Amino acid sequence: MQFAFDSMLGLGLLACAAGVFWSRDLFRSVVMFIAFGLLLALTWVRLEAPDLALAEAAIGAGLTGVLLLDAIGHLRQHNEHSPRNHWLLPLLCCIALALLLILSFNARPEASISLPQLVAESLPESGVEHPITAVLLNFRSYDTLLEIAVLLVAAVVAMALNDGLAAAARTSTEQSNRDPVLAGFTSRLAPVILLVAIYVLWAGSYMPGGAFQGGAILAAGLVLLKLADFHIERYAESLLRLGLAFGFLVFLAVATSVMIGGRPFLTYPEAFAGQFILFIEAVLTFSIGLILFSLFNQSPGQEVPHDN
Amino acid sequence: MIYLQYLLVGAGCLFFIVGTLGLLRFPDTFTRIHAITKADNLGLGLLMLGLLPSTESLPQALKLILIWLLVLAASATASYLIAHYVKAQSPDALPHADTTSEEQD
Repeated sequence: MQFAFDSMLGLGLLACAAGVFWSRDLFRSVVMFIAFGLLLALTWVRLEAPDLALAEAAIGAGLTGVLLLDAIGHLRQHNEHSPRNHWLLPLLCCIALALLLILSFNARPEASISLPQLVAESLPESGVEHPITAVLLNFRSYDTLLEIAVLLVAAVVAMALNDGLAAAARTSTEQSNRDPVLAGFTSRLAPVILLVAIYVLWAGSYMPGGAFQGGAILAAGLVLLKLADFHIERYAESLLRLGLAFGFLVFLAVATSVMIGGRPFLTYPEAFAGQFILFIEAVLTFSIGLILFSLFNQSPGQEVPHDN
Repeated sequence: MIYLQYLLVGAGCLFFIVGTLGLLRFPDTFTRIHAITKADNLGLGLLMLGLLPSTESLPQALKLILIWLLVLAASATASYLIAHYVKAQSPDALPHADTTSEEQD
């Protein structure tokens, strides 16, 4: 039974991947890509990696899908035809990468120390109960700090590239054509999304969840609000920009402030490690949500106001 | 109890299969929406009802119900948006959609 399900999942993944490459128009490819992401999330669940499944579903399928759909919308505005004759090169790259991964997986060196065991042994000192969160926010928090920096840089670059365009689009579509059904649905859903984001963040300390997943959910809520024509980013633009950097700044401040007490960079006092991690994760959730949203927000918007 | 669960989950799956069949075979967007929303609403509802007795705690059961309600609201909104968009693109493309959709929904 399990085998049947797993093989169907694997075949479905392959079929979706083939669909992404060979479907006739871009829109169908993107829809296939989103389906691929959802199946991949299920695959991670079957591989007992629920943290990855959450991240894949929220970021891989959800937000990337929205970004791609938005990009198609802009492509269609400029030229109706979007020829698909560039599938050979990406396909070859993907196959080469897959082969490389398979080879390196088979030829991986024998681990001299058992990392899972090491994590399990020092879990009580980390301040949280979920090993993934312990690794991300305590044992290897250096990586997480740099990841946030990379995200922040990506958002800043997107803003720098697009500032003029966005400003032009903003003035052109000032009048709101808010759809009543979508607006009603979104305004009722927004508090639920916020609650779920906070729940996922809170759950991160003892089960799968955490700042990235919570932030992705928060970003999804913000994207939904924008799609429903609630432009909250217009009311607080400078606050938004501050919020982008807030997570990284707080993380860095906490990381360096422990040095005052004579501790090394990025180590937490053991008695308060749990609180430190929760605090950092809370600001990170907020900032990741804003960063992911602002990547979407940088899209130039509808340049030609439609008549309908 | 377990047979009732089998029955409910089986019926839910049937609705999904029929809905997918409708999505693939029906001629235009409006009838397809009609088919696929049945799968979302009834199929998922029956699946949820069938799974409810297997839940271990009240919060878990409530989460299942919440998922169903969220999908219900989201699929209704999405179907409306798709139908609205199609109608705006080609107002004359639907000869009798207004009357039939009211009767069936």
